[in-house]
Amino acid sequence: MICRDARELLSALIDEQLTDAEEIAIRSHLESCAGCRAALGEMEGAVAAVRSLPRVDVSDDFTARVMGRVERFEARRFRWPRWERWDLSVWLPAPALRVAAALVLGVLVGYGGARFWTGRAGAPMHAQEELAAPAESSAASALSSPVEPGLQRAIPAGDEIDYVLDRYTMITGRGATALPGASNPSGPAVANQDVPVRF
Amino acid sequence: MAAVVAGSQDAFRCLVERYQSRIINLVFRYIGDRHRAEDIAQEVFLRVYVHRMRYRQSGKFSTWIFTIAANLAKNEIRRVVRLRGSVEIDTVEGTAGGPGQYLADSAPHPDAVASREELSAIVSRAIRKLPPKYREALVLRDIEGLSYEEIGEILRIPGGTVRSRINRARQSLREKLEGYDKRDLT
Ligand SMILES: [Zn+2]
Repeated sequence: MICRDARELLSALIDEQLTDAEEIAIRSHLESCAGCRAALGEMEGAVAAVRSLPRVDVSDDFTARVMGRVERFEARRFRWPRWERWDLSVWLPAPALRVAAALVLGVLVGYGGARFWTGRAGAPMHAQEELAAPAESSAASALSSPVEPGLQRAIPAGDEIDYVLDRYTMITGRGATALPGASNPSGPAVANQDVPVRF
Repeated sequence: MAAVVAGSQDAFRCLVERYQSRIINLVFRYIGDRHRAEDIAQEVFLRVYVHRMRYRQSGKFSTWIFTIAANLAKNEIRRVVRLRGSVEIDTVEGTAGGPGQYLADSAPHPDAVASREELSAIVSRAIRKLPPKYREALVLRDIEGLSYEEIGEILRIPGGTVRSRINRARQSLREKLEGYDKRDLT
């Protein structure tokens, strides 16, 4: 074994993650190579340094704040029972994106409403389907970003537009401190227009 | 977790208390901002609550919640990068620079006698300077103490990649800490 290969295995040696063959090979290399022995020692020191870093303390009111938000969430859910499934920030991590999504929805809802009231669309259900299609595709493109693969599959397709609207209400109800982007003055206004129109 | 899925808020409170320190510390080591780490940890728990029906009993709960936390922390790194503009990306995302790069800035000279607090700060900064993909592997392994298998699941990378990323992260950290007496820390 040459030094370069040995250095690749040092970390896994510390963690006992090597195969038997690898371990035999590196141990015999270490016996004859002072440089790699020193590197191993230094790496062990670095690992110990990281592992002994002090943990940061949790604020005393952390649990209370989480539970407060859960209660507010449940209170909203009581008024709008279907909304429990929606959490826009999964798809639109940046507050700016959320505001943009709400603006897009506002325009779409306004457009669909106008179509409906001028009699060019059929029943209300059709108007809604018309609305849902473009919004879903925009949500789907946010969904397909590489941001959160783990969470993407947690969200079933088809809930997108509901999800966007609900999440928007959650954001505006939460205040500006948790989500700086929500302090954008156009945000709440758009949401207030959207929600009654849709539901 | 079954009681949480059923909607018990008491059970959820227990879960928050059991995991809050680990989640906050995980996020803090990803992003380096303690206050934001708590905000993001709040989001993590809210998401666990909102999506509790989607938790699969077959998987380990800790893996699920760490995946959510890791993803939100990664989003935060991206958000900060966007806010600060591309100029400072190297500072935010870490660099692949060799030894000396980290020590060249305002860190005290290696030969200086550093207090335990100073050394903690130096190690913390060295972690923050790691490129994100190495930093996350290191944090999950050495801050959270997760197994290679769990790390692979959370980061969605194969076992061999987990191993090489942890090795690269520690290698890089070792270079950044060269000259400091790590024994002072332990
Ligand atoms: Zn060697």
